[in-house]
Amino acid sequence: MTWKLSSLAFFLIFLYIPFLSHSTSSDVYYMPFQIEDTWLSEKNLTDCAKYEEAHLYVENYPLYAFDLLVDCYSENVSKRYLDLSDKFDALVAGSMLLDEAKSEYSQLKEEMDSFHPETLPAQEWFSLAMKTSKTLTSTSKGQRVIYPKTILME
Amino acid sequence: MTSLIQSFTSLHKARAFISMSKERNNVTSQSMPYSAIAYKWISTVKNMLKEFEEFGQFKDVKSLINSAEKHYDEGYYYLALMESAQAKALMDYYLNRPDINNGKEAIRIAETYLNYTSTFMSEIYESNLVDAPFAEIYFELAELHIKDAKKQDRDSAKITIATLSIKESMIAKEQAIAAMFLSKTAGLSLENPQSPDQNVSNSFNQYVLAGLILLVIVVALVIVKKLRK
Repeated sequence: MTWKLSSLAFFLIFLYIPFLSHSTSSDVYYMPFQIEDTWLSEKNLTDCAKYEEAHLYVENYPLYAFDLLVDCYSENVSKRYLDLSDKFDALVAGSMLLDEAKSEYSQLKEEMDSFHPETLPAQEWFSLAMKTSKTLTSTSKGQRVIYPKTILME
Repeated sequence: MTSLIQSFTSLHKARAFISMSKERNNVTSQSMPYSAIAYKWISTVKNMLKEFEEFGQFKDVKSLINSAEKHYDEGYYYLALMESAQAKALMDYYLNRPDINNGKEAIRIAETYLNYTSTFMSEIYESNLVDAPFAEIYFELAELHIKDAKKQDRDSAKITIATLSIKESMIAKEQAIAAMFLSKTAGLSLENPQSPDQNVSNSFNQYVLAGLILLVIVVALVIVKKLRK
């Protein structure tokens, strides 16, 4: 009888374990956002001050690290504009970059129009892309994200 | 030129997120009641604005809700849901603004909010069916801003940055709740969706109930055993 009772108790406790682990465990993190290696090893970005900083944040703050890398990319576009301005007129340089942006935007739009997210995570990233792409066509009037300015490299 | 650079930046970011979206488009899928839930969240905030209009103008909340409604009309329900969740969090912040007297206290309060939000984020991280990148961005920023506040010398700067972190934690929490709520309603067509708070409390109640049933069974078995002796 005791043996049967113990077995039953263990069985019931065993059944309850998934509930316990689900409600208390917080150390198993699923971090889906991965910055593509091409970004992290982009040679044109290494001169940028935020490039090193971005690598420090990749593991724990991937989306913030990604923003730092994108800032480096912006810096790179500015440099490209200055180089073009040296060779041509500033106006011509601007219009060359504008044409490039237009062409890239139409490619992006085509890509977005032809893609149909079917799962929730896909929809979530797609919406983030949608929100980001909307800043291309209109000035953002909503809440602007203020990034930490004084974080030192740790 | 600045806006052109901004455009290039946005282009690259959008492309990276699209690539992420494609990668995450291969898990088992069930239909989601996106529009019903987005509508529910927008209505909640609009009701709050109506109810508390005498307490302030809430310009940023109104602006977010206008944007959410616009996106809802365009069929971008998830974006509308995230914007209305952000608006709700800001509304909650304005209505329950914590009393802060100095920098040290501001940082302590910000850490409390962050810890509270981390319990909701844990659920997101543990689930393969929801990513909530909008919430993730705010959660990262909230944590980084606390670190930033700690490095400030002036008390006023500590308070300003810690307050920003509190707002970000609240936004991340609300967006995480909205995303989890959406994932839990997969396959359902919602006529009258429950509020997110109800949903979270129901999940908790289920665990407690399961525990209690188990306890009652074990106690009953022990009593039966003793009576037989």
